[in-house]
Amino acid sequence: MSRSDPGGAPDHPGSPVPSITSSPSRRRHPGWRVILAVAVGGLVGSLLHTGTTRTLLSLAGASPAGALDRPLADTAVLVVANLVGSFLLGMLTARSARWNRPTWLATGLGVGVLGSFTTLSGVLVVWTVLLPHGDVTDPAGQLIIFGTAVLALAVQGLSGSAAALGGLYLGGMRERGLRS
Amino acid sequence: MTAAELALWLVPLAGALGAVTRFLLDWYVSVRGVLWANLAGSFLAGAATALLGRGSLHATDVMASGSVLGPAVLPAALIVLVGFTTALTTFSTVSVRSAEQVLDRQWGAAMRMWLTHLGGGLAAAVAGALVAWCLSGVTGLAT
Repeated sequence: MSRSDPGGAPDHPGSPVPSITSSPSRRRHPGWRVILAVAVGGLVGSLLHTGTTRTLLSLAGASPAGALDRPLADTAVLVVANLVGSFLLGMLTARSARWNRPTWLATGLGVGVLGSFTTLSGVLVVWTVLLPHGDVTDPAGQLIIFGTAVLALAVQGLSGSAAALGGLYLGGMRERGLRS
Repeated sequence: MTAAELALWLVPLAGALGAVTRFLLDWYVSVRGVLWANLAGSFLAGAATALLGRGSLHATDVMASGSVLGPAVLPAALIVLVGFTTALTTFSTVSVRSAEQVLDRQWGAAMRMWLTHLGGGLAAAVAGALVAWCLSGVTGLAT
């Protein structure tokens, strides 16, 4: 994974443009324009996340207070957001590797908007909030919950890769010839 | 403006801070940056949701269900913290990087990436919840 890219900026005409998701060890300051783009993107992505999940949950008719069926409803809503975000980031990654867009724009959209729109902690705490509450106290029931959580997360990982792969393909990246 | 309304305004700002934190971790800490962001964010999210209670995934849920503890300032602060962790952690970057590894025919590396992010994140979230319960038991915050 380690790449010897000193600056990360596309100011070396001959070298391939680094992917916006690649992270070569860069010591140089990224530049305030990029940081500002990530901040604004993160704000927009956060708003989109709240709006999308709230809308989907109310469409699904999920009760606001926690019912036992809630983890799966929450998971379904977050999976939709995560898969859409993975697909779009795949497309953006493929496109920005070939087109020479400004760094701040691709980073603001990819790391900022899509990075904030998708979440890892959300799909995990859906399961941890079940732990302390007394609805399922017997070991067998807890084992079932743990097994369901592991299965659900495995499916999410696989489908996340598949969605990103689809985005990379549709974005025009068939193989990683551009890098490393 | 109540603490709850203020929290809803602060959530997007916390999201911006989370995104910048993740970006800087990725920029300066190299390939492990996003992993650290996901682990730290999962730990904090586990702690925050453990204190907020079940069904507290979304800010407005807590306000609607009235599942608050003590004065409204604490749940409001926890909601802002959840907004921060939602943006600090990310799913799409892991998806794309694992997909790139699949394109490289590095199936094992793609599997390991998900295992460290999802497995490590789940362990971090559970650890955060346990720490929060222990602390709230000591300080008498929890119900």
